[in-house]
Amino acid sequence: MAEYKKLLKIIQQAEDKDTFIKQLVEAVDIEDQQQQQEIIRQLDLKLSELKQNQPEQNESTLRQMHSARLSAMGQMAAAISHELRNPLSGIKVAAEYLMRKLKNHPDAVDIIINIQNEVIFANNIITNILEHARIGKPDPERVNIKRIIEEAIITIAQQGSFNNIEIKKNISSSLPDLDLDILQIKQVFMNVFINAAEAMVGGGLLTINVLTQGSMVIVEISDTGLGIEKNNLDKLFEPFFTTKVKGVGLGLAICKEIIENHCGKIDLESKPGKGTKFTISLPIVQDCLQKN
Amino acid sequence: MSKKNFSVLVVDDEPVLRETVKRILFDEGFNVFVAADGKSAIEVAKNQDLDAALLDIKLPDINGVEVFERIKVLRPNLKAVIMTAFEIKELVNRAFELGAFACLHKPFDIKKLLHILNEIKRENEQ
Repeated sequence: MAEYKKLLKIIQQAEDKDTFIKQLVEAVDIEDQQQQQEIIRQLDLKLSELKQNQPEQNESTLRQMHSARLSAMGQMAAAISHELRNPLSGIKVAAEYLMRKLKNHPDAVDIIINIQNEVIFANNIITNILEHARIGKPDPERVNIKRIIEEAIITIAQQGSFNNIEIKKNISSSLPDLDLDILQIKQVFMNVFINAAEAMVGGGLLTINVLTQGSMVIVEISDTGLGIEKNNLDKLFEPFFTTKVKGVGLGLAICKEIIENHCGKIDLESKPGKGTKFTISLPIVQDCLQKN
Repeated sequence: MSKKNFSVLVVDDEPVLRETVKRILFDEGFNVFVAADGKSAIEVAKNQDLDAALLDIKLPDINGVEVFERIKVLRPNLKAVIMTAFEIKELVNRAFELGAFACLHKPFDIKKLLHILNEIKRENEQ
């Protein structure tokens, strides 16, 4: 017990390698001074050798691990989505069958509508999880961001989300092209536009400003909607945080990841009752894309 | 001689989906056959004069696109509608290259399926 306590003390109190090795060797019963010195020398060499063999957790290794984890997550997400969407399909079709048979029973119809809505909600969760897991390295093309914004507006408008909403665009005529993954960046704009539309339930104004400021391209998207409470503002980009009743909370987290993968930043300002403004800043020279 | 009812083969290993779709299509006046895997689907196609097939891409034995490929040989005029829970781009593209009529993403709206089948029926009658 005494030997055990002695050794434990040495290990716990060690502050530098040399003193640690010396104290450790002295704690062991080696009378011969020369042999003691040899053990100290060997321990020192061995510890240095072991440290060298351990891969350093440098940035590139961490990125590779993150990438591998994302890839495994992507595969898992794919498998889960398939497994869940099959029974969901069964439930949806069964609900439709019941609707046909019970359409003259209003109480039953109400419940069946609830079932159908829950299926849609569950499916949206799956879609969000898939999107989050699938975000990988951008596959960039040289493109003007104006084109992506216009495409996103058209897609959202076709879904009917912009009914009663006026859209004002102020897009600089001298925007430089950027290296952008078109699908991913379009997803960002669609997400922000949908949030804005949902905040302007009775109608409102959506303003889109796109300009160059120094070495950055800035996109400002403002709405005249409900606005967001101050204490929610810094949580908005966190995965699974949502203020919506039926929200999943991955939309803005996905947007943040996409913009950061493009070397940019996304911020927002908001005041309850006044509206919300998203600011997306992308550098004209996107160094991080080369490193990635 | 009375006109034969439009015949559809529903192929999916998910029993609730398969059997409920069968009931709905039957109520809509279609002649419906079902199969839970690729091999059974091909057997049905050998013995029945099918107008359309609703094929899940992922089946326990062979994938739905391969099933379509083999059924096409037996029934060249058959129209296929592919169902997919998770889009596997290469397979979906291959299905369309083979002449698939449409692709439905699960969970799909049964009204969409009915619309597609009625479209196929109209085309066949022209």
